[in-house]
Amino acid sequence: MEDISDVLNKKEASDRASQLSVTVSKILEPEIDLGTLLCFDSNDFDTKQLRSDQEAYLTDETRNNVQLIINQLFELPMKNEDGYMYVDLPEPRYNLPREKPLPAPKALTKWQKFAIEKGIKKTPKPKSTWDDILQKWIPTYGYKKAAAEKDKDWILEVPGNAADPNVDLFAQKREAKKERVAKNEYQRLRNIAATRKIKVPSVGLPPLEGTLHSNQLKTAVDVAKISTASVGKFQPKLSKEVVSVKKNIPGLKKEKLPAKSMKEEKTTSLQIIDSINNKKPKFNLEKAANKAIHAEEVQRFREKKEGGDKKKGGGRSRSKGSFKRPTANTGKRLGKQKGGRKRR
Amino acid sequence: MKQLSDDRMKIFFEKLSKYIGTNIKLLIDRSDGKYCFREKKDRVYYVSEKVLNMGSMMNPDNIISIGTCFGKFTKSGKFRLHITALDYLSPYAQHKMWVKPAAEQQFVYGHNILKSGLGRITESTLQYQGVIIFSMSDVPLGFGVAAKGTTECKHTDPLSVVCFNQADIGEFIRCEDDLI
Repeated sequence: MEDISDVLNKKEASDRASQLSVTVSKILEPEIDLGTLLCFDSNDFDTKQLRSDQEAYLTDETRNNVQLIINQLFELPMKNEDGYMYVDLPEPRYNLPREKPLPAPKALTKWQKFAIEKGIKKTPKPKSTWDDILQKWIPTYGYKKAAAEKDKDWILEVPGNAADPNVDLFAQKREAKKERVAKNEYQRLRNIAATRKIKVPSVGLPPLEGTLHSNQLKTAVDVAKISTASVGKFQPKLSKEVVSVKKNIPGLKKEKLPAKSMKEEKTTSLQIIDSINNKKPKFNLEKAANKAIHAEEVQRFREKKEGGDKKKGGGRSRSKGSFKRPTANTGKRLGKQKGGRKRR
Repeated sequence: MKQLSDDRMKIFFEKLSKYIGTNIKLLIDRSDGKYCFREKKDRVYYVSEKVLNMGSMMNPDNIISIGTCFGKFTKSGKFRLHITALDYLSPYAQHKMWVKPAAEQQFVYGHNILKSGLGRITESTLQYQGVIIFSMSDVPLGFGVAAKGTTECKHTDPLSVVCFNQADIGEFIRCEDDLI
């Protein structure tokens, strides 16, 4: 008996569902955007029903809203083509949020970073400037600029302070331009490498004419040393060479020395102090001279003291031979003597 | 907190030996406990083992200073002594200069010492030797470099510089935030 009633109940329910009305009544009219087939229902939920049978309530609400959309769709002008009925959806009013996250901002170049840090602002250049010599407007860049340069620089002045007047100034200029372009290209690539976090080898000698810094040379030696098939394991060593080659090489991880115990640390530091103290003192001329002067002074002082001791009873005394009474304007003036006296 | 590498230790001790000579040993080989030099952010600290152990409990990022700061390594790899090291340098000083009371203030304000302000000087001080400066009542005031040797000092005119100021106790106020 129960089975039959069950079946009947189910049938009744399904019938009711199929017969649900096309008209839906809502307290607030839901917002419908037909362009995107969206429906916003801003009515409050019936909390009682939602709690008692959530699933059924939500499906019912959804059905009603979909029904509303479809009702509106049928209000649109129908078109018939090859037996198919269709409508043209209006322009969507609602902007759908983008599916993917926003693209990351473009990485700044080294110069841009520096400019921001220093507060340097780009001054816009005019697209073209008036040239007094050629008497025409010349663009800032482009083929017309290059052509104008060619017209203008058909002759170059040899600078007054030129070391060698016979140097080809045109070639020099071309070379300089090439260098500038190459430098720019290098910097561009370096910026790309920095943004993509590619490691750029910083090893090797820069193509420099003239003298290199001692640090550069040291690095070059270190790099050359391990640039063998055996990573420098069998390279002969100089007598006083620093053992740890690794530390000067850019890009290689520095060797982390193990921490010493308190006792070891003390012994090594004492050793270092000893090595500092045991340095052979260089012959210091100044020191020697000072010592000699000091000894002389001391001796003189002592002599003086001894001398003073002898004539303690006499008080201030002068040696008899050297004493001479002042003449007090009674002396004869000799006038100008030939040859003059010896001046000191 | 790092132990000093051998290179840095050498640079550091060479600098110290200019002021206290062989007496550096006394700083390390102490009878009243174990002491050592530690490096943090290029600054060298003189720390006792006890304080070091307490410091090791803390997150190293949160430690600003530990023990006594002796000075710092400059970017070019040289060592510069700070005035905070004076307490340890003055008892072991090998070359000293005493400043007359009238010239004390001049020195403490960061000026060099003139011959006129020089009260006494250790015999056999060489030119460019590191010296510790004392007031006439034997209060350490700072340290510097002898601009002239002892014998030269005796014969120069009173307005010539005798000692270049390197650090003085006025820095505790003047350079408060640099010293930590």
